[in-house]
Amino acid sequence: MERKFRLALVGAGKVAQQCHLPAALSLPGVEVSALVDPALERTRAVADDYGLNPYVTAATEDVVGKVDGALIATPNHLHAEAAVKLLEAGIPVLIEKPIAATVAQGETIAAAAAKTGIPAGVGYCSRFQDNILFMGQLIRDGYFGHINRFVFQSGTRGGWSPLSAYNTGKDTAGGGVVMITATHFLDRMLHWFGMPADSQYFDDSEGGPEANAIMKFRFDRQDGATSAVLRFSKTRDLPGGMVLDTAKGHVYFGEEEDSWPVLSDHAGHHLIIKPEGVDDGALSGLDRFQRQLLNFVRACRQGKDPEVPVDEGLASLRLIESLYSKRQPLVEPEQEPLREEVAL
Amino acid sequence: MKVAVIGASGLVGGRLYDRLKNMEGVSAKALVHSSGHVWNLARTLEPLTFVDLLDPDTLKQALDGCSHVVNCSRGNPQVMLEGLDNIIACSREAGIRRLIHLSSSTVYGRDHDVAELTEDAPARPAPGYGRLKWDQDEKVIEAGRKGMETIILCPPNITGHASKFMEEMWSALCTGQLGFVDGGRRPFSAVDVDNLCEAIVRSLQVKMVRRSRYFINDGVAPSWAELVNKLEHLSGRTFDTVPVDEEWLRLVTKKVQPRTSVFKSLKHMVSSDVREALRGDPLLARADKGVRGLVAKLPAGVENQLRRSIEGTIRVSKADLHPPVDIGLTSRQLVQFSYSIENARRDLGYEPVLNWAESAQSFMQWRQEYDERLAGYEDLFEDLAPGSAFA
Repeated sequence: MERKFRLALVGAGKVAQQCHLPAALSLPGVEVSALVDPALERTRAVADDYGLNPYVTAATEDVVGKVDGALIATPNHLHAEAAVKLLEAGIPVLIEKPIAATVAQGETIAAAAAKTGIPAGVGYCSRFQDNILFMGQLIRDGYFGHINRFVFQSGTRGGWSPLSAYNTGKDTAGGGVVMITATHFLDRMLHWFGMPADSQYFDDSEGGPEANAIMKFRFDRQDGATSAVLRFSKTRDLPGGMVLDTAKGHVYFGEEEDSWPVLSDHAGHHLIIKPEGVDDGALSGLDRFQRQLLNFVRACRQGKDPEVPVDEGLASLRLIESLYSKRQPLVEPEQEPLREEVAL
Repeated sequence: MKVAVIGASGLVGGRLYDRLKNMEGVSAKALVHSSGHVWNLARTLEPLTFVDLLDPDTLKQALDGCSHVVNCSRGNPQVMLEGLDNIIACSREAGIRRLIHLSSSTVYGRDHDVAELTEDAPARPAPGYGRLKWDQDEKVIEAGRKGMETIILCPPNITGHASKFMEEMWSALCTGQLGFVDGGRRPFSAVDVDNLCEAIVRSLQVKMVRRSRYFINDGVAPSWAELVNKLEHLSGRTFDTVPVDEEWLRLVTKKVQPRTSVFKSLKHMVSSDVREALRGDPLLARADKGVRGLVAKLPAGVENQLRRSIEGTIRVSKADLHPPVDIGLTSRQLVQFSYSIENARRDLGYEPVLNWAESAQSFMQWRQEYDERLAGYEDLFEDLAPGSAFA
């Protein structure tokens, strides 16, 4: 019988507790052997809550020799330090998205992965959703014909509250809503459409992490140009999803894990497009975090990179940094709207 | 004056903090619970103080050096009650000169036979949020009796810039789920977030007050129909509303408390739902199997009678043929009166800075503030909007 895969969780904060730890504990071939976090008391309490007895430490290097792989879920600016240490010690890593807070940090990870040849990946969990895999295939296969334009938006009033509050600092998160939320779609977009030929970027940062961002892209594809506008917000609830203007009509693709593309054709018919054998829900029975971890474990055992290798994680971070470098304000200061007199 | 704004990441707290920090002679401190909702503060690099209202030590530290406290916090019942106890105790210890507490007009309930309600009316809070706010008010009033300067402000629905309530209203209108009671003629009681901030600032500045609690709103209240007309005018759209019968609405919003009796409880104990849960335990499962074996030996008629007496007859709910309406929003029209702000005008010097129509405009401007960046793609974004063919 194959020996269990000994996993270290580096960073035992909210995403580790709510997503990665339950996924790890649910997979039969995986055991959580180590938890690494400077908040030792809180980390031991997490282990106790799950009835676990892992090795608990504040220092990443302490897990060397005790684990077969590590999932890094620390604040973004600490990814690189942990990943490089582990890779150089021969331990494969799966790094929570984005790969790092800056491209420079991301490049040190990519360099360490290339130098050591140890498997390394980035945790873009939405890439493991059945509906997103299916949609990607439809786009790449040209199912909808030429895609003229598309939009995507995602917005919530606030959201995830990491225990370290790293999301409130540009230095710790690397940015705002783009680094925290948009990075998922940008990764997917690069995977589906390739690198954009042109882009424009607007946000509402006044020195801190942006809460609202709008970006525009142009892709030069084999069958012609495709343009896109994406909108992200941490201060507004926006109905989430993607709409594509295609040769076959408008295609709506919701954000939910059980949402399949809906084509509104030129005759006004609405057609739900699903892979064969699907009624409702996911195909595999595993959620995206379970599938992501399973992919990582299998990749480690086979000595190859996981589904999203560090180079792809680095590509989306490069795109984000390039967007930040061409930042324009969402509202021009002189364009403050004047309130007209309103009669009762 | 140094004002600690507790709950500065919320709608009112955030807007108030923005206003206070730009006032001469005033400094403001933003107290927040966690980082999930601080985006508007973080993007402008505002210094944030993280506090847990259930941890008096962090609260005490946070209030150090402050002269006034405004409590805009919300949370679960424990945070709202125990947290408020801590705010009062720590404020006293820190020598806070005045505590302004945000309550709600819901503490008065909705059943009063008057056209305009004053603060002297008897409070009739409904169970839930209204009751919690009432319990909070009692704590603040008690602190006032013990010598702390306190002012309680009771706003109705909060509208205007970034209003979540107005977003719900907009969504209900777009999906055709706003019901109109009495043709939409009931008063729409609301306060623009900027008017509420104005009332808070007045409460911080006023020398002394004569009462503990004040209603705050926009002054003249439109009808629900007038508000919808204004939103139609501002957006260039037309909305369909659903006529709703008041009695039906009262019925569906009534929280029915089931009657209790020992016999009913005993029947519940032996019901199939409870037995199924107990069968999770192997020993109880064996006992249940034994009892069922005995019952199976009874004549069929007796067995069925026994089952019916325990489980009751099969009940089929009546289909609801009423068009779907947003019950939470529509039920607010069961309030037939408006709230008088004469006391706030006289004692606090409060005067609304925006009227209801300007408030509606402020909301719409906020909704559309970045729309010009989406030019050329409006049709695709429209496909994502509530009420679209896809949605």
